[in-house]
Amino acid sequence: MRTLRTILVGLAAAAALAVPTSAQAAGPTPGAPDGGNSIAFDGNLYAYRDPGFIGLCGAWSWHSSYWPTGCRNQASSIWNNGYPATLDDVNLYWGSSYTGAWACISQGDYWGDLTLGIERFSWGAGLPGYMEPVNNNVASHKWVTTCHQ
Amino acid sequence: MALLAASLCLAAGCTTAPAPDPTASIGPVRELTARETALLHDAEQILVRDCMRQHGFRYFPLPRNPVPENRSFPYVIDDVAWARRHGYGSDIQRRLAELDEADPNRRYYNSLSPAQRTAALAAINGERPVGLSARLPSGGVMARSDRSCTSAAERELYRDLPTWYRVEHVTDDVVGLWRGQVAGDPAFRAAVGRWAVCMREHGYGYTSPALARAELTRPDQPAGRDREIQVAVAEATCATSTGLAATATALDQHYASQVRRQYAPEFATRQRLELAALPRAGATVSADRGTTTQ
Repeated sequence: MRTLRTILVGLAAAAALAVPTSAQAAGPTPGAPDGGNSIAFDGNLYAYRDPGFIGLCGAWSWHSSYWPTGCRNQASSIWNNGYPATLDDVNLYWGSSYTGAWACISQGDYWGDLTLGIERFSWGAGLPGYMEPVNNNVASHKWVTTCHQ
Repeated sequence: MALLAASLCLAAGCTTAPAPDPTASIGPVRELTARETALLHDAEQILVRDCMRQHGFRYFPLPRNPVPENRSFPYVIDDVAWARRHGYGSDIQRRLAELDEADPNRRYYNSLSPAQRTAALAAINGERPVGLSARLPSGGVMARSDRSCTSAAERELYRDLPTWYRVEHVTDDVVGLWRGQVAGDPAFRAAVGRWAVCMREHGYGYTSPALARAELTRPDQPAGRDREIQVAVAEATCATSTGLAATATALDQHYASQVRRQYAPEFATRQRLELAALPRAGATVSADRGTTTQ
């Protein structure tokens, strides 16, 4: 569970992201994510505990039926920085093992601040978790052909 | 069908008063044909390939439907023949995973050095996911880079990239919303109840198609191919015999029409951008064929 302090730090980072500084305009420092606020460039799905690339808690090139402790039900920003292939969009599931309702994030797309609580699991009507907030609520994910369902 | 939808609407207690058409000032628009949609896809893939080439990378255009048998049954499987061949589609999921593993883009990307991968990824997705954003009707703001080969290809086709990004995401997002309205409709729930009775008569205790699918496709507890097909065939048989399939189709049309009216400007703008892009897409595909056949 995140503290108010980390939420405020996250919000500040999100604000910084929304208005690029000259350093950002010159491009981020590529490389492996370090759990801080570096930008990851190795073709994965990335989950962060706080908004705006803060607190990397998961990076996956394939499905995960059970996100690790510290990331499961704790992610507040998510980026699909996958490379184009047959499966390059991602379903984010409310439950483990791809169960319950889901949200979908296309290749290249980014949910920068889930702490506002307005993003919903809007696919899978009739399943547990349908229309619940995505923030701190994703437990598994699967790469799929398309979000255009 | 209109009568059925109207009576279902009464049962659901909704209103049928026609909304004013906010698209009237935008100009004539229409749904694209399947062929036109495929043309836009093909052209975008060619443009992405050309952009990646300019960045020094190879790119292999992706097919729109890599496994044509892959079908979505958002409410219930209602095709017995399909269920008999594919069950809940685990064979199709396996095939897609195999195609992904063998995907030429995946293999190419994996063959690059770490530095080249970083550059290729920045070329295709942009360095940061900022520049484009869409507020989704289901909630939240989705964002993407406006400096990427994906964005360059879409800008070439649709010209007004920020508007295209927004209306594409909004019009795709609302599909999930109207499906939720269908699932919550009393007529749908009553039909699911009849379906569950029918399933019990076939020896299965599932209370809804959504829960049956969830149970049969669990990765940690594989159902086995025979059982998957048996349950899927029973699901499809019951969907037809209890009227669930027909009810779902009628309600889908009803709520889709309502939501499309609610988001008429977005749907009309998307169609306007797509229709305007067709000549450019046609020229792109023709020019590419001319190049590749020489």
